[in-house]
Amino acid sequence: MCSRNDEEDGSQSLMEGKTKLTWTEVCQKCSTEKPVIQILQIKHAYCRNCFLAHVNHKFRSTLGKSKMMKPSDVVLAAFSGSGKSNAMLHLLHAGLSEQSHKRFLFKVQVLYIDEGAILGTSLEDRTANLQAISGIIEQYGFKSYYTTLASIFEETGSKCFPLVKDSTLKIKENSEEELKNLFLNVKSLTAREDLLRQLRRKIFLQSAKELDCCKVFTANTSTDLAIHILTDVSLGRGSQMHHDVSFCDPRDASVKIIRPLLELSSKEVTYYSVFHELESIYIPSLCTKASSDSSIHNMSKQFVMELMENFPSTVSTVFRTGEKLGSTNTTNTCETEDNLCIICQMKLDVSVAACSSVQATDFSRLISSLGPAGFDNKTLSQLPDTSKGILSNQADSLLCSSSTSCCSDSDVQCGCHKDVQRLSFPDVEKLCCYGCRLIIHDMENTSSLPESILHKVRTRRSLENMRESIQDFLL
Amino acid sequence: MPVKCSSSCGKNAILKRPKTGDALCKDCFFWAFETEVHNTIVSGHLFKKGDTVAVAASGGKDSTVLAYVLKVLNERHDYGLNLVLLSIDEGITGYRDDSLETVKQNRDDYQMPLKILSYEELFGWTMDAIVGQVGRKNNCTFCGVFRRQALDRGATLLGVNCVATGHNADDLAETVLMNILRGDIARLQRCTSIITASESEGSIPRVKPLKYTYEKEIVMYAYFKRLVYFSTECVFAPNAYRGHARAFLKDLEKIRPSVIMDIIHSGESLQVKDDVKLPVRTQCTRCGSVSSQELCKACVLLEGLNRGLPKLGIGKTSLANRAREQQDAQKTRIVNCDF
Repeated sequence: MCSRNDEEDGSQSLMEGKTKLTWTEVCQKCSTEKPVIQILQIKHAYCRNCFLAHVNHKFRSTLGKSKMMKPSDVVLAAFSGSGKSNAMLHLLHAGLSEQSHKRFLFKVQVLYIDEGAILGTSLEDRTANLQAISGIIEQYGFKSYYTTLASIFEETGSKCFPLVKDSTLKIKENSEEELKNLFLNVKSLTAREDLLRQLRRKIFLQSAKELDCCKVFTANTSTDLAIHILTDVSLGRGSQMHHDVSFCDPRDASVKIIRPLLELSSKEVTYYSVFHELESIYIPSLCTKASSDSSIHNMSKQFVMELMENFPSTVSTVFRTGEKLGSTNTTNTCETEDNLCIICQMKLDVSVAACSSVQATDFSRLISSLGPAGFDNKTLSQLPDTSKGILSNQADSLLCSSSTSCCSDSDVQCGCHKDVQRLSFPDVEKLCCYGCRLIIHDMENTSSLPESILHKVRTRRSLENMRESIQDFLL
Repeated sequence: MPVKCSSSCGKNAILKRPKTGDALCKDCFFWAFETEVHNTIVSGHLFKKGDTVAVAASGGKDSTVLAYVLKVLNERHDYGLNLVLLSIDEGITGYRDDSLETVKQNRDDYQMPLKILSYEELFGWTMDAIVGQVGRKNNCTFCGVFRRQALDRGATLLGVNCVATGHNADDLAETVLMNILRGDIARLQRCTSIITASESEGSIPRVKPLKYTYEKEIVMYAYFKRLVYFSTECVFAPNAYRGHARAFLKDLEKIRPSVIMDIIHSGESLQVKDDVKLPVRTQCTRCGSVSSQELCKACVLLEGLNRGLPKLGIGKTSLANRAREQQDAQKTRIVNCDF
């Protein structure tokens, strides 16, 4: 059959195509000035002042209607040097210098994360970037800090440093080296970018805790989030993407990640920066200058941008779709630590249902390696019932063969290095969600993962073993 | 140096599986392909012993392979199924008439009875005639809506227990993307389910045994088995928007081949917030088939065609109602003039 549109009732409601440009003589808001920009799916023409007021209002109303901000809050605003994050600082600054009754009551601190190590940027360039960043933040008078991506590898000590006019970048050689190794270890750009995103989130949380902030602000616009939704779906992160694209990411019990720009499009934020003549600093990242077919992230971005050309409602439709998704139980925090992915803290979504994509893929792998000779119908009929997935079965068998020597299984604190090497892929994968498994799949070995993650694997593994040994006596 | 088959059967591999990257020889591939479909059927509880199953056959690669594999598995694993072919003749000259020849070939090759239903006998309109009325834009809406209805009616006519369609993994992943792009939450939620529409009695469930099978592997299977299938694009303009999603998926697949299964996994594990209102599914007051509106889409479209207002079912409902009222008013006026 023609599979073009045999949906439920076969009908299909397509997105609205591009309508005629509606430049009006005067601004549709104040009816006096000449319009300079078209917004709201290019249906409305606004003048400069009305537009700036509109952006400011959207920003404030997004924060206001969430009812999450408390006067005692200290907010950590993530600043990357991009125009978007500068616009966020500008909006925050404007809100803090308002008349008394409209003023934001929370306090703002700014954080810059130096990611130069993974690109091999020279130390001079990284220091220059740092100083340029501090120059921008200084204008607003916010207290600011910087940290490095490599600090994820450090066990102890402070990881955030105050950022002042001529501070120099403090790096630790060995953790920088470990970070570089980790990224060299990951083969595909898609997995690298995904890993970077997960690590960045960890850094946000870790820094916010160190600096006693209870909220982190990131400058994601609705355009970014629409791209994010498509990327997440393609990365198998469907069950968790509502955390990645909603106003608040509540995964961590004490620190919430908040996206105050999510009601604004990239275009609106860019024009806000342009009209206010805000500086931005160009710092290349992993996917900069890479072609669109080099990673899923870049491909989704290009796809959304191209669609926007002809279907200006794409971003808002996708974004609204994302808004309607969510978990049925809204509090993720009550989950026990044992059910969470060690990398992204999401509930493990890989319990293998009898008939699911995970099971089908596992099954394909299994029978491709067994072949008709090593396989009979009995194996098949048992498979769906065990519903444990081949991956985890393999993991178990590998575990049994490898956990006999050296460190006893119940010894959680043992820092023995052999143990690190002995963490096989199945060991780690078992504790990851579907999306993070794909990152692990693209790695050459697991030992280059940050110690904090490896430690979790070992702890959970020994707990598992302990539980097994006392299983018969548990009621 | 030739690569050995990864199942260690000793033979040289002839292909790399797009799904897992394993290299397999011809025999191991056939076996793996069939065993996987069998696994899907068993674990998804798609059929019951003694069921009569209609295979929706278009003559294309998916349905040809589906009919062949179901026949093979039915005999090998003793499903006890009674298989029939069901084809819909949309009445598209230069496309469907040719592909129906392939279906007839399948009927003879696989020894299955074939039932062909045409739009003309069901609705009084061929697609050629419809396109003459509505033009090349939006004609896919008519074709899709009518085919769904036609399959349902055909299934009822044949008295089958379920209809098996040839939707493959690529189709499903594409549908997930499409529904996100269109913001269609209700369909997003149910589009990945392997059995559809069984809850309301009276409607015949549809199953997708090839749900986890890559399109590429279907082509490989058909190629190495030398199955004949019909592979021409429909002569009427292809749907541009789905085309975007399809091209996007193909690009993603080049970057990471597992992306199709990953998207299906995402679709399967998506959850919709409790407070989101979803359309309630009821029955069409005119023909009784499943619908979320008072009248099902097929009835509205057909009414539009018969009234000479083909755009009736395409635009907004409010516009359609206005057009309907206008025409009714005009008719009364004409009637009034007569007396």
